[in-house]
Amino acid sequence: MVECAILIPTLRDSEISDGEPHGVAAWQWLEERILERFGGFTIAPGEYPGIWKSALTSSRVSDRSKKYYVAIAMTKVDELRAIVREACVVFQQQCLYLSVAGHVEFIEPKAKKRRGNLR
Amino acid sequence: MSSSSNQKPRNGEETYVDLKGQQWNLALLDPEEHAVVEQLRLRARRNLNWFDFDSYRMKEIMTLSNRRRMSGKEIIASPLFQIGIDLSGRLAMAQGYARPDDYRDDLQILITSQFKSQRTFCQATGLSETMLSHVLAGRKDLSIQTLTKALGKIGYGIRAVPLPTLPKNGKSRKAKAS
Repeated sequence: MVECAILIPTLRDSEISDGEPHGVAAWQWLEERILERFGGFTIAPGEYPGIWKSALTSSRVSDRSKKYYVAIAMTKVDELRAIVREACVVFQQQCLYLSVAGHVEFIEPKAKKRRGNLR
Repeated sequence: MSSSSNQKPRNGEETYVDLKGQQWNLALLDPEEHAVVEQLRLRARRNLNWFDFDSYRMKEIMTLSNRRRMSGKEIIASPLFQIGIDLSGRLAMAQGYARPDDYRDDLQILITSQFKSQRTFCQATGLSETMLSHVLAGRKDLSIQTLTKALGKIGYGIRAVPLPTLPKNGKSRKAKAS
């Protein structure tokens, strides 16, 4: 098993979206998605303030994030990456921070392949 | 926390009504579940910091669920999880960390959970991809007529729901680039 951590900013990206707080449904979607796929998670106490440089405009952007921990088998890390990729869209982010056993990745949303209409 | 989250039905048993209007009969909870719900409601009433509330919420829920060997799907369906995340949502709104859901949130969750991509959603509904991107990013709105017609093509509709009641001291936050 490996410990994975995801940071979700509390605001939608102000460059690709409106910079507003997320609707409560977005948080519920994320938690149910992780529970459904991995059976559990924990949330770190406190908020995680951060500042980063936007790849789009080079502006410095600051926000506070919520940190989720998920313990999963190494073979399932790609499934978590897929959820984080979806989360980029739901939470309107240019990318999201994912740490896998201490190794940090920035996951970007990616267009899914076209394969029929409904899943 | 909203006053609408705690109502007394006719039979005298306490019912929790969530933001979606779903009623949860607290009398059906077993003593362990009831104790956790009471602790969560107490912390919500005290306006505990949202991040700390959520950390406590999931610690308590996962501890009980692990002891009962519940699957992820069973946890999601449980009143404990649903009431807990509803309290979290109310607290987040009251502290300015979240806003009430609107049709954009419903659309986004529908697209993510039911369709392969925004493109396939647009093909099914007849909406343009550019327009949908603007709508989801909060830059444009869809008329009720357009939305009704588009959703009707995939077997969905729109409806009016009561807005959550928030404390008057609810804060508002917005991102600013510098």
